[in-house]
Amino acid sequence: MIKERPSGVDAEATVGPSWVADAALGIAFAAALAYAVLSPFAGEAPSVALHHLAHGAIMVVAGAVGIRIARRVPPTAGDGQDAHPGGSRPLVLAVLAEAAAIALMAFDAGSWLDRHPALHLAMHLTLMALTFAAAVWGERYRRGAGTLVTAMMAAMAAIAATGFGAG
Amino acid sequence: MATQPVTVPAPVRRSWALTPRSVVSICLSTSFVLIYVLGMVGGIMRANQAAVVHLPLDTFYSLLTLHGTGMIALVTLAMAAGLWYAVHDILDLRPRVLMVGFALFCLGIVLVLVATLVGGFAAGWTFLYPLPFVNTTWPAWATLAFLLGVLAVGLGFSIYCMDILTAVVGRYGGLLRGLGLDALIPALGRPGQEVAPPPVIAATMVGIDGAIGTLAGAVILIALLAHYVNPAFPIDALWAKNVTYFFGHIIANLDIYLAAGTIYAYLPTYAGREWKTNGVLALSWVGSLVFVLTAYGHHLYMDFVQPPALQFLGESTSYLASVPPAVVTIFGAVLLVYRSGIRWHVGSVLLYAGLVGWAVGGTAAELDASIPFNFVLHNTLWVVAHFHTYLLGGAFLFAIAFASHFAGEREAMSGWARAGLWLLLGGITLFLASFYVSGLEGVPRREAIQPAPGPVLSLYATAAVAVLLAGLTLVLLDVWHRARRSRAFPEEAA
Repeated sequence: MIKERPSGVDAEATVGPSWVADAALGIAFAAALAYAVLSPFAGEAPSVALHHLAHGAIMVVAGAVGIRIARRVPPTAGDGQDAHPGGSRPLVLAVLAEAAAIALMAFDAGSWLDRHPALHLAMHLTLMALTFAAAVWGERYRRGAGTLVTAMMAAMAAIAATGFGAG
Repeated sequence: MATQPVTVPAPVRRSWALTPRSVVSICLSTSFVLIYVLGMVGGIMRANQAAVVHLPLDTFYSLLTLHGTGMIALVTLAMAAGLWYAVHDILDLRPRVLMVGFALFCLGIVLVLVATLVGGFAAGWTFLYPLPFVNTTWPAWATLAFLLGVLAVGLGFSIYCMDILTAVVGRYGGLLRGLGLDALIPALGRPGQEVAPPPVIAATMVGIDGAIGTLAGAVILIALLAHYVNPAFPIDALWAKNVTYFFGHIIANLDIYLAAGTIYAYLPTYAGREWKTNGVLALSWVGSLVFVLTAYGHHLYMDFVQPPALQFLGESTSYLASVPPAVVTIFGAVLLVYRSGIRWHVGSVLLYAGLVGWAVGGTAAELDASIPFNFVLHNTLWVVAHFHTYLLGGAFLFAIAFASHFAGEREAMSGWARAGLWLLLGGITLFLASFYVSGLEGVPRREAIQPAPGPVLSLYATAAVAVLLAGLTLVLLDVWHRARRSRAFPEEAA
């Protein structure tokens, strides 16, 4: 008997996208982007904990955008097992992106980034890009995986907020 | 008259392929071979403490670091493979993802081997800040190799956990249903969908806690790597200790919860009874999920600057953590076996013996987590006794039990296997007893040279290691022989 598999495409979203949700996500993304771009150039640096939590917030928004987009794109040959049984690449890439985001946080301590706001900005954008990519790869592997990966990245920022980079 | 040639059916030869059985076989074989070697390393360390052999101090502490890190990783690997096999059909898991996790485990283990045996890294498996960086007797690259090795193992386990969680979401439509909570709250259920079976509930709990634990591990490891690259990178020592033990305690604890999933899957096959999901079982696993995350605080009782609320949380949840396994899993297993006419074989004997190890090790842990007892037992060999009881006398026995079941147990238990079981279980009992008595006598842990009566008790322990390794050899050879037979003659083993 052939087992029926989910297509990997959000049928509901394809048929009738929720414009309210899209608009809310768009506003959140614009706010996150504004924070990512402007905060490195603000005078007073926030506390380490607040800084990590802010990272968590912009990463959640980037992840949500990634999930939204991934669910509207039909699966391709490189996708995970929903589309092609046995494919592990999207999951591995998602976890590696998560690890890369953690590694990137190592630069986020001390005064070094305060002295180089342009690099700080680049780090914010890279964090958002990595979360976006992790969420997309996650969703391409299995529906729901993008949400889990994004939640894990937010949790990572929360753990870091307890003292990562604080002397 | 010409004689007709007699045709003997040739054993079936199969080409190697990435199947669930082949990947699980690789994981089990690798972990058992390395566990055996690290067991010998443990025996050598006990012989050193007994003053039978004399290792240089830095060598002893390198071996201690290798033994601790390696054993946790390898038992996790074996049990992860066991639980994966138990649920792979239900959750539609793919062997390739397990293989990726296995490859990362192997990379990590190789890096730890190089860091300790070649580089001489000796900061202990806990790699507590600032030990890896201050007054070291090893080159800086060994620290780097060790940290990267632990990171690789963590990444491998993270991929394993994420795969299980996403599969649970795909199969049951959410993690709450994966935890079986629709058995407790019917409104959570979906029409026409069955409640998740107990092994899936265990896998979901392990997936959630494992993903969170490895995340914390990655955060502290990246902080240490950043400090390695730039010594000015600030690390708060108390924060580092909290996060390190949060990570370490979760991973060490999950070994036994991975094993619990295999108990649910395989003990019923011996007892001929079904182990069903109900509300109490689901609730107990939600409790375990929370308590495993919060119990690590008992490692920080001596840190007077730790916020008191965390100390209370650590002690109370350490107690609570024992309730779900004791009341639901262990007691449930005893009831399952009671008057069932269970078929005793290597697998069922070791599953049952492992339950004893889990119960005894858990009780010893409870004692140590009680602050009045901890005043006496803190950092003595009692601590080592309790985690060896539930890892060696619990999780490891469950791993061999799974391997035996996996290899096929159609024929009766052989005499060699019976002798091996006696030696293995007897050796483990003697070995653990020496640790417990040493702990009660106040012999400190993590010391190459011990005060009296440590050396005498270490001598007993060394002899016990020889006995248990002899038993382990017989049992593993029996399992290997049956695995080969079932591979060569699958129709006979089926």
